[in-house]
Amino acid sequence: MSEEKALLQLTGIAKAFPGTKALKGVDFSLKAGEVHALIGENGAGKSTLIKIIAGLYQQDAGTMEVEGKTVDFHSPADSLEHRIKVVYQELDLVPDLSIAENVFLGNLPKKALRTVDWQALYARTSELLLDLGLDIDPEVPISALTVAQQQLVEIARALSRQAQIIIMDEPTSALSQTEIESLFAVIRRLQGRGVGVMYVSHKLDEIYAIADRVTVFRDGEHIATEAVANTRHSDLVTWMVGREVKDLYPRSPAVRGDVLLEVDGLSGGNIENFSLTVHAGEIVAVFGLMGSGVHNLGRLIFGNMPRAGNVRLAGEDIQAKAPMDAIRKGLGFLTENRKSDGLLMPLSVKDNITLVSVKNYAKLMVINGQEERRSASDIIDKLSIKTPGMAQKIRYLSGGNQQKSLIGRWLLEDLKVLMFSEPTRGIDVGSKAEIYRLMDDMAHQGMGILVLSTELPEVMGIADRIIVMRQGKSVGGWVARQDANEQDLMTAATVQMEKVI
Amino acid sequence: MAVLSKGRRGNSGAAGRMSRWLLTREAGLVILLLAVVVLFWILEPSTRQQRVYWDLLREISPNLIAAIGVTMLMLAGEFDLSIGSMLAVTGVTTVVVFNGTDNMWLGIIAGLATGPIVGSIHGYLVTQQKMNSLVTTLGSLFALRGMVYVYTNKTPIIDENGFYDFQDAYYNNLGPAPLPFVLAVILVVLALIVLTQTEFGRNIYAIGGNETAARVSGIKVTLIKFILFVICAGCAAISGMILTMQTGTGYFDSGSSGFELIVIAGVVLGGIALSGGKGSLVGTVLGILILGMTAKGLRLMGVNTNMQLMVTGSIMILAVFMHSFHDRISIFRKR
Repeated sequence: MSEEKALLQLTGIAKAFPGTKALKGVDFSLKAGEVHALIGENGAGKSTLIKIIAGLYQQDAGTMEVEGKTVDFHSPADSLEHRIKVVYQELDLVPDLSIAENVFLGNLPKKALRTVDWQALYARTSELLLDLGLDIDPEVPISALTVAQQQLVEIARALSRQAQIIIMDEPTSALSQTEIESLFAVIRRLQGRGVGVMYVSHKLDEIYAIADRVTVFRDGEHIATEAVANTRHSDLVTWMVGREVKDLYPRSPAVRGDVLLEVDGLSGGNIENFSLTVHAGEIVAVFGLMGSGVHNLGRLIFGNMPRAGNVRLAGEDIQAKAPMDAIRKGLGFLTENRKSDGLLMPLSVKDNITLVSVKNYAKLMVINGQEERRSASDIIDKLSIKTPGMAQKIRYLSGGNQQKSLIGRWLLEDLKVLMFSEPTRGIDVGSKAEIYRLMDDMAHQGMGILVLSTELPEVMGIADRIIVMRQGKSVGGWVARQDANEQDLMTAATVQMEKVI
Repeated sequence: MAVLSKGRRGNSGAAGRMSRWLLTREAGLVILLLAVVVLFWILEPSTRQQRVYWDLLREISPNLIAAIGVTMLMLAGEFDLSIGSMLAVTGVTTVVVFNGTDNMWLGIIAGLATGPIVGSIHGYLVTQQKMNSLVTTLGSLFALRGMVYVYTNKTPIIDENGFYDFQDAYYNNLGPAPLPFVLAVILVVLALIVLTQTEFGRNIYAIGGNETAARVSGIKVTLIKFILFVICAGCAAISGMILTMQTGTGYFDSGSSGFELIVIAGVVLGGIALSGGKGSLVGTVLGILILGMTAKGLRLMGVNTNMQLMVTGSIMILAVFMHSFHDRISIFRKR
């Protein structure tokens, strides 16, 4: 380690849970004014480490030092006292309380009689928000803010406690490109003030943009710590996955067949007069930034959001407001909210896979369990879903395997077209490649695939044709691998877009 | 939300404040309450006397006090279904100690102490043993009632000393206001200050709104919930004490005709979210008043009890509809 004193020094941290060793003696250090990225696939132990630093878990072995002093955290309050603040991935805000009350949550300014000093509360919050470039009324409830604004409120919360160590867990997973830029500007300013930032992310591009050093974990072990400037992209991937991922995007063009999905003059939500077609054997992607309406497009087509305009599947009209009709005619939809819209967390992998197709195994309303299990087991083999068994509760699977189970759910139906909204959100590199390969397979088997995404590299890598959406309208189409380049697509998606923050 | 903290900024001036107030949940409830009062004013001449309203306030004081505790607990996302049985536990304990010690104050202290004792047990089971509060207190609803039945053998415990001071407290007035109601008002104001003006109160909202957020912000979630269970059962014990004053007997079936449900109905009618974190104590008070006034009016009109159930139920559904409508328009008002 360098001669500079570390703000945070973790040595040999180990933590086991029943059945797994989440951390097997890892080291991590953070200096003042440094952004130190921590990367690793799901299950690498990143979140466990964060929770130990936050005081939510206690380590089984190893020492934690803050500014050279050994510390022992028994609760989040202990960690906060050492001016450590975690900005969690799932935003930890109370939606119905005001911005100000959230910023000072657990730490409200008080008057002599221990009553809340509202004036001081609002004044100090305004100050902090302005400091972050956010000019909004601190009395507004959190639920009225955009995700990006909420993120800034989280950071304001860290500042309100004069945090010297800020841990950001996947802070950009729900932000648009412009919002990410402003977040980075804030991080750089914090850095200038001597705050140490631990930046946990999946997105390698961001690490090159913001971090000074990077540490890689794999399976609860420390693999490497390097200056970002000295590492190549491929090194990081190899360290994370433990093997070389040669081809993240295995797309090989398939035979283009008949038109399967026709969307004509679709309007609803912020979307106006949007049209597209998807042919058999084709992967079409619609790319747009957060707030462009790209996610609503899926809901409109599927029929769980009121719409105007026509949707036809293989020549047959699909009724508005009736997802059941869409499914019956051969359209499947994987939404961007895997947890809330797709998975039944308390149920088994099998039950999750056969959710839609279960009717096919029923005779006189009684389910033929054997047949159902056979189908589920077929899917588990075919998609190589990693699970101890089909009876395992799906919540214990990694994001990638959960997503594969959901794909399996639709494969059991006789589908013509499958729509993916953010197919790989929150999924690690290794599983990403597998999911792209599955998409490619489906296209080769004559299905049409529609991808709705806010991630440009993904769109560029997997699609045959790309449509860019801005403010609910189509602003142009590109043929991938021929005339599409990142620059043009990003410009098309952003120009004229108002600054979000 | 916080009524006391309204109107600090934004479009000031009486008109602006008035028009913003009309959009709140409480405004809808005030209008509903006035509508109920006016309706009975027209339909039932006897409701035109002032006395009827003072009586009403005296009668619903136990409900109001119990509702304070239930509101605070529900704001934190937890329940206590056992408050009806608590009434009997308190009443029987009080009178048994009266008779055993011949001392009025000892009886009162013992009776009131049952609240914190039962509340601590609930608090321990829910916060330490991680048991679900709905099921736990459903269990104690039956267990406590059973204990009272076994102990009393289903006979009322009569106050052998005849402590008239004790019984008078129920019927006496402070000026025109019935004493139990004065107590209820004091407790409501106290609770309102705690809920809106202290960190403890704001933390209750935070826990109900997002428990994880509260925990990682260093709020002592477990301790606060424990205290709330004690407060809730404590409030129920005070209600039980008032009902005991009314009759001067420890009655084994006190609160057995769905007291907890009527109180929770009033709380929900007042706009406290079942999931916690949302609503105000002012709403609760209005909710209890609406249900109380409806029941009283129908009784005075001589409407049979079956009909009363129907009307009360319908009013509740109307109020819940109002709340969901309010939630929908609030979404549109955002940005």
